[in-house]
Amino acid sequence: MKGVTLLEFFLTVSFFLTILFFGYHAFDLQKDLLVRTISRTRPEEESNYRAILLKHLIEDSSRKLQIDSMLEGATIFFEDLAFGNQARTDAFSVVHVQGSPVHFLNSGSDYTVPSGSRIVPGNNYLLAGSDSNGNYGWGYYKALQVSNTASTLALKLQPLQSDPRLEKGTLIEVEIHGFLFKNSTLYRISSGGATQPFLEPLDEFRYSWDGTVLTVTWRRGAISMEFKCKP
Amino acid sequence: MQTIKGFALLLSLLLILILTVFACWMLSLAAGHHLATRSLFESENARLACASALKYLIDRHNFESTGFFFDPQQWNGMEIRSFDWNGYRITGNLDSAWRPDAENLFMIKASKGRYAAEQEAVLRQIRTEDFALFSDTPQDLTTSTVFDGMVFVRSFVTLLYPVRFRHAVYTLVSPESLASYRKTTPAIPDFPRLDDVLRSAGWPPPDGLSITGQNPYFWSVDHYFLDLDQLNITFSNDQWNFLYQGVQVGQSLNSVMAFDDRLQIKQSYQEIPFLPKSQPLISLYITSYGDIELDTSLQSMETQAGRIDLCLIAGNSIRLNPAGPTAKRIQACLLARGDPAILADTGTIPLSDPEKIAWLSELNGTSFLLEPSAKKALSGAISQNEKIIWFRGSVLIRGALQTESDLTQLHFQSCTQTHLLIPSFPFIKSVEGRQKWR
Repeated sequence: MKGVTLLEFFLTVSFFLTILFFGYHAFDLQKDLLVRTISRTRPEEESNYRAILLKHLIEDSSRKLQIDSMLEGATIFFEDLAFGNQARTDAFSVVHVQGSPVHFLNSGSDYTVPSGSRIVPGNNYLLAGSDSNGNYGWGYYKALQVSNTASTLALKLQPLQSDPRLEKGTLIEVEIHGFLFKNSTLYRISSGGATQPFLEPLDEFRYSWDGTVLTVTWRRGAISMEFKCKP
Repeated sequence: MQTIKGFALLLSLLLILILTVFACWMLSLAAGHHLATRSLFESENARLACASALKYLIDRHNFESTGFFFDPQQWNGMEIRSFDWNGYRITGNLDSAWRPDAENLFMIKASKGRYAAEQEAVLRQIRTEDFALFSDTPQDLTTSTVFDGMVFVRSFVTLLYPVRFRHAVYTLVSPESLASYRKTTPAIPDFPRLDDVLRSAGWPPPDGLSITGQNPYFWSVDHYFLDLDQLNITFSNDQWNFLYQGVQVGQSLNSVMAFDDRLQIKQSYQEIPFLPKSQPLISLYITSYGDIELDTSLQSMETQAGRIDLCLIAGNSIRLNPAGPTAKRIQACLLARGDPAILADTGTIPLSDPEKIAWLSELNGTSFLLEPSAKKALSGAISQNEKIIWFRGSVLIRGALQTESDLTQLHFQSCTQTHLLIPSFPFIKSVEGRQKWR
């Protein structure tokens, strides 16, 4: 202990221990800060990813209607989950066109399509064409039954909305995708009706539709997202 | 004193270490945050680059003399030679060798680092049947008209009444105020003349049924006469058999009937069935070195061999004779190489009530449904026995289209059937509604 008194030794050791203590605390604080920052960044990443998914799902959906002129007048975006019957602020649905267009004729209780057409019972279809008064109309239906006749297929279709009683026109297979905000969670509802969380938790979700452009907004804490797309 | 200095140095290094670790953490967080936001833009940009690169390739094909899709220099087998486009690497491939008369599946990908977008597009060569009206000379339209199909008129088209164009229009329209477009007007490729198109295909094909020397089955006084109700064709032993009035009049490799003089055609009116009654779809080419005269409406023929779609090719004019009904609907592809090319006259015999019902029924199966004012005008004209001409097949003409002054309705619709003996244009288009993101 040459040149150092006991008091100096204790003071130095105390100072060293204090430094160690606060050094440890500094690391602890940094770790805490990191965890908190990550907890804010991760949701932002997730939010951005979900925004891209949703935007790409909705964007330009109506372009596929151009495959047949008869289909182009149909509506594919609805401000609810019931084809526009009950507009609500917490849910919307968008229709995706699949497959190839097929001409149909109403033959009383059934619809007739050319043989060889790919119609799958249980799948949903958009029908667009002329009603009995010669006016344009469209509607969404579920195929219940397909049976072969001599040179055509006979379809039994269940209307999914008020039945416009179309006489002839074009039908095409569709998938209906719904989105519902409930209990701080945005749910995605598949074409078959299955509900699964799409983004959670959210403090706020809203959308607006001006007939052409859809604006979607959500917020969670300090994170907010807003984007526009044209279905 | 040395010990204390060393201790102070250690503490300083410890402090710097703590600050460095903290700074690293913060930098890594900032990078993660930046990447999360950047992926939003890059994902969108990749899509935009992919879509614009596809348009660029199509435009390059249509407006450069080499034609990108037909230029072997641009391809490695089924894959295009990759190139840079707005900072993105563009690659693409066809699913099979290019088919000039069919749809071609083309995949295109734009990539930059970890960001990429891939689109699937259906490409097809533009064909004459895509056009509701294709004319090699300027035209005057003297009635209100709906065009359901592409329109090409070399130089310009002059309108006297409002005209609705439902598809792409490749011409100058004057005055613009009378034109109503549903689609944006594209740039105009240098479409070849009809004569050149037919010449390049070696038209008329040598393997058709030649009806020459005042063939007694068809000759009537000073011209040939063809009653389509009496015609039937069958296919056996790789040959088309032509039966007229129950008698076999000849065989040929192609379903072509080539008359060497003026030809008059008639057919009983039948409503065009909305669903085709028979399969397969067959093209019957009826050509004349002189005029072709149509007495009646025409429609595809339903036979045991399949549905026969008509393609009439006149060396001179196609005349719609004044002897027939007031309203004529022509479901046939008309190609006339004379000038005037089409003399569209209407008759004096009003439509019967069943015919009027059939006309209205046909109307309800077309895109007139989506043009309510035009549909109302046409329905009213049918009811009032006004003079109407409705071309429900492509009209392809070298010279003028002449109509009578009392014609109130003149409408054009493109073919629904491909007539394969008429070659495709060298230009391509992306089939609407068939693009898909992968």
